[in-house]
Amino acid sequence: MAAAAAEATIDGGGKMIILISADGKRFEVTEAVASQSQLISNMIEDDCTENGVRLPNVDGDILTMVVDYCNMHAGDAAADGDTTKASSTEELKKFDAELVQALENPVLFKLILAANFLNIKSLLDMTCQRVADMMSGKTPEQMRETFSIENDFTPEEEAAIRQENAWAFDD
Amino acid sequence: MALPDDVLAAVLRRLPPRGIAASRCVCKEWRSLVDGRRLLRADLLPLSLAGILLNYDSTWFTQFLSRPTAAAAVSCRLDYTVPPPPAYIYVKDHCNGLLLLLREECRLVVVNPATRQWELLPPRPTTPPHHHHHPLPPAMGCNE
Repeated sequence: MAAAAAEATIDGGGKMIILISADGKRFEVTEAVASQSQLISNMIEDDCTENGVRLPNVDGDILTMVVDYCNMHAGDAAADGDTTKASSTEELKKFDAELVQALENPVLFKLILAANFLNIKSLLDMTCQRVADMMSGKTPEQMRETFSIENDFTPEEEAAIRQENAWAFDD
Repeated sequence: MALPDDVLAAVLRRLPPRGIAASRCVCKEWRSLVDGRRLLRADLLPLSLAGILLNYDSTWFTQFLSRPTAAAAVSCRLDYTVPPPPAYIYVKDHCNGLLLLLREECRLVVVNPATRQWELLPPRPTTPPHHHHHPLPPAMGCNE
């Protein structure tokens, strides 16, 4: 990523912002791209992005995905010339589908946490939906397996809870 | 890796009721989340059909048609409502699995045949004065 000063501007005239991941990777994005994150949008409004935005709980590989996503969804033709032209709806759908389909735990969870922290609603919605799709039609045992969750119910407790929603367990 | 409660709730909310019910059995934390946020809305639950109550106009008695397994749970003999048992009980109406029963002494009873809970409805308030000149026909007297 470019090591330009955080104040650098590009052809479109948009101000650039440097995002810095937990492991020190730097990403230069336009304000339009970055402000899809409500967190960063607020920081831009408060004028505190001049020295770059440190994101101590987002790893570089996750931030790469987030930045790719935001670049695709910025819908800002002026930004960045050839690489991030405004994408057509079909392109976006294809991009989103491919991004989400490729995701598995634990990367999926890390991306959700990043979307949640950065407050990027569309990315959070999409990743939450992916998790819900992964859970769909699964039994409690399969859900535990998918998410590496330990069953902390006694067999009696679990039987009682199943009984409370017996309609969900008869096929 | 665990998701924060808000995010987990956002995920579970996207599941159909059957999936939410299954997630309730995963672990204690998930159960309290589902219950605490009322993700499983009881009013939207699919209702299972245990059987059909039949009302015979000619005999004024009710029969319950069901598989043998359900018959034990639901009784068509609705005479457990308000002792002593009346000579007849007539199912006047129904709504959301509840029955409105009309007993021979013209009292109305709401009963849940699945749980056998019942409640006697209070007598209707006296008719407003200006209706006194237009009494209801005797056949409808029991509605009051």
